[in-house]
Amino acid sequence: MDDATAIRGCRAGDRQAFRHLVEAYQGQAIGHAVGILGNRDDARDAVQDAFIDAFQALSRFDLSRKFYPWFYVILRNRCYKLAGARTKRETESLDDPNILEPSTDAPREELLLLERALLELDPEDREIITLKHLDGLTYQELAERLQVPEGTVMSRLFHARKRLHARLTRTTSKAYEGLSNEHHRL
Amino acid sequence: MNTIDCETVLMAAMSVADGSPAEIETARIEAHLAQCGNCRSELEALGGLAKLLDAQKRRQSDEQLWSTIQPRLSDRAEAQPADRTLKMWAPVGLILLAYKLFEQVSDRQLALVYKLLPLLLIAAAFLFLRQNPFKINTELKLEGE
Repeated sequence: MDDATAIRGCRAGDRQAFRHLVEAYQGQAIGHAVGILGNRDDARDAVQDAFIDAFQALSRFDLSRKFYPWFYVILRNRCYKLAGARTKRETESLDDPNILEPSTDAPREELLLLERALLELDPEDREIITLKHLDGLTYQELAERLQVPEGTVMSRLFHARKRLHARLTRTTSKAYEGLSNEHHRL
Repeated sequence: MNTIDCETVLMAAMSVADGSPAEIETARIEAHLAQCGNCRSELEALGGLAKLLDAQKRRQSDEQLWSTIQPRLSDRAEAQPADRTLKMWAPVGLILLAYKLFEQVSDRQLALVYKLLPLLLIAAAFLFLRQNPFKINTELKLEGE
């Protein structure tokens, strides 16, 4: 079943047709929601709410467009609503990254430092950086996803990367300080 | 000669590195970088960060959400049947409107009917076309899409 057929089915009252859309996009959606919210539990809640919102708004969906970019707008609204309602979490001790995929080639410490620096950013900065670098979206695609002009994408991305660089430098130097203190104690 | 500030140059240089055209000419970016050591080192740092990020992948999720979404779809659909609500209240609205019109017209001249007729025709046209004239379209549609 393709997306358009599933959407037509949903519009005709077939709720099972919506299952196709949920199963096709849930993984991607959770990844994106984690990219904004920074943690998996909130991301799961936001994705569920977004799918329910999408189901109710399917009658307004333009079948000539792709489903996921349309759904993403709903998802990010849910994520920011949730992010606004939550008080800022303390950066938890990270044993396992939520945003980044642990890889066999990159050292684990490096990955965790990068993840920690990403988590210290605002959701908006984290969102644009992960969409650009982890998903490889172009400026035009970013403009569509974030519903802003391309010039704004350029400026937001630049400042987000600057802030990430500053956080990463600070996190790295803290980590080195920690390691060096441990070394002195030994 | 126009001078451009460091931030504009860096932003444009990063945009070019990302494969997107910059708003200022490449020659001007290069000329500024040739004479500004701070910009060169910052560009190098940001370029390194971009490379580090490009090498990462987004963590995949294999969570299954259908079992939690499905019951909520049913609940919501029963709790907020938009179409059913409209169908239920539309006749009431029409009866009230008809009564109001009758009340207005019955003791006045027929000229009022002619004044109201275009309004009624427009309302009927919107109903027939199923378009809400007061709806604000918030969906962004990019040029060339």
